[in-house]
Amino acid sequence: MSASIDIGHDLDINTAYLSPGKLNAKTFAIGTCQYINSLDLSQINPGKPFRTIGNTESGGLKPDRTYFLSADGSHLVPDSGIFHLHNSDATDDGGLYRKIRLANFASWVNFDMVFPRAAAFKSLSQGTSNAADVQDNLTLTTGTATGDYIHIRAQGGTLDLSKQSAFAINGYSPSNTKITVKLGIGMENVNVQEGLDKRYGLEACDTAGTARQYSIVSSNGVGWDADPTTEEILQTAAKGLTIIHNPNVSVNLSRYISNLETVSVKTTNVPNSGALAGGKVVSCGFKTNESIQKFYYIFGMRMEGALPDQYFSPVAVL
Amino acid sequence: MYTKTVTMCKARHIRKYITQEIGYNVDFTFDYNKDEVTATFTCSDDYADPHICHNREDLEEYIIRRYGAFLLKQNLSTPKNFAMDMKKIGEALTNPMLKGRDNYQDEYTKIVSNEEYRRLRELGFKYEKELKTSSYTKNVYEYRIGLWQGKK
Repeated sequence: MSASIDIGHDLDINTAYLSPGKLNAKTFAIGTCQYINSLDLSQINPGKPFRTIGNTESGGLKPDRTYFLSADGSHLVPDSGIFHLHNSDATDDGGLYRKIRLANFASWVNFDMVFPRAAAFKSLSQGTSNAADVQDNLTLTTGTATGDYIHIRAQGGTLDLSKQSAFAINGYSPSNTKITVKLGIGMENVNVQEGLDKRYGLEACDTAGTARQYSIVSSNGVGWDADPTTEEILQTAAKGLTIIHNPNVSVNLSRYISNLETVSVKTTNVPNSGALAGGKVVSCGFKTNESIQKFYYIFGMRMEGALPDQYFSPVAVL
Repeated sequence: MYTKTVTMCKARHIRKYITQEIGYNVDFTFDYNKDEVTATFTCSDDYADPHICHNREDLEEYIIRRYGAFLLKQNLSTPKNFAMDMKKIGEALTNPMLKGRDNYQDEYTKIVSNEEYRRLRELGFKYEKELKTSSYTKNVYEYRIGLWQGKK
């Protein structure tokens, strides 16, 4: 049976005849891409929604997508949220990528150090500690005296702590005893006692010779705390550690352990306001707590988040 | 610090619902092949803010309230690499919410900027010492910070 076009209002039990035709016109048709592709679209109401299931593409339709029948009844139009490349200004492509970048010019901060180099950072150190470029990585090497440290900081910049951000490091240390490590956003130098400064990141400290794991640390400017995780500092190869800051909600550490996705959620003393001062944003510090040289290898780092209002003025995209 | 380790079903489902109430922290390990999640929940009652202080009974009640329908195994041993002594809480000892509590294990001093001091003053925190910097820069302020360290 073919349904007459019925637009505008939802079905009303008092005035509408609940015929299959009317119900069909109002509801999703769910089927495989092959089935939906085989329908005679000219017999179906314009605007009719379709949901594709299965796992085989057919006639340009892909599984797990939503399509609507075009106003002229000639073809299916993908819903927004569809895979697109932002490589044209056509609606289905979502607009040009360069326009998206420009539209977010003043609100987005991206620290890209997937290829880190020592000269990109300000090095603070004690003893013979240093940060050096080797072919494989950026190596933090402590001196040979107890308390020798190396802390690298990205100069300048800022980050709005009232918006979501994330910091990631790919690296490792072959030492997990008698060391102090501090990595993250707004972190104090590795050689000083924790303050009340707003921050989030990873840290660990050992002076007793006990094998240590990373703790998630955060401060909201009033109090700070560090919570233990199952993430071992001692590794034999670089691995990725991603720290996600959800303002006033949580600081999460996401990583893989034995190929299993593992996430630690910390909900206390989470920063939710303010912007970090220049030079305070991204830093990594490593210290030896015995008279033995220690190493931390950094293969890559990344941070993304928001700039505070009026840090840069906006670009109107034409 | 209080801990409880449980195993839950529906790993892919729970992955979308890892947000926790304030004061409860969790370490989740998702095994999508077995469709299981191992989770170690922790909380503490040593914070100055009473809203985020939770004890062992609160933790048990919280896990059942939030994830009760997914629980497979309870009372599992806490993972070996979950070091209780890595739990640390730092509070300025003049935090009005501490209400004179002094059961901290260690203390140290920290100097804060004038800007930070003004914010802390608004919240009722008193400084220990006012430190002059120079005739043309603003004074800075010293606070004592108490350190509570983790213990079972």
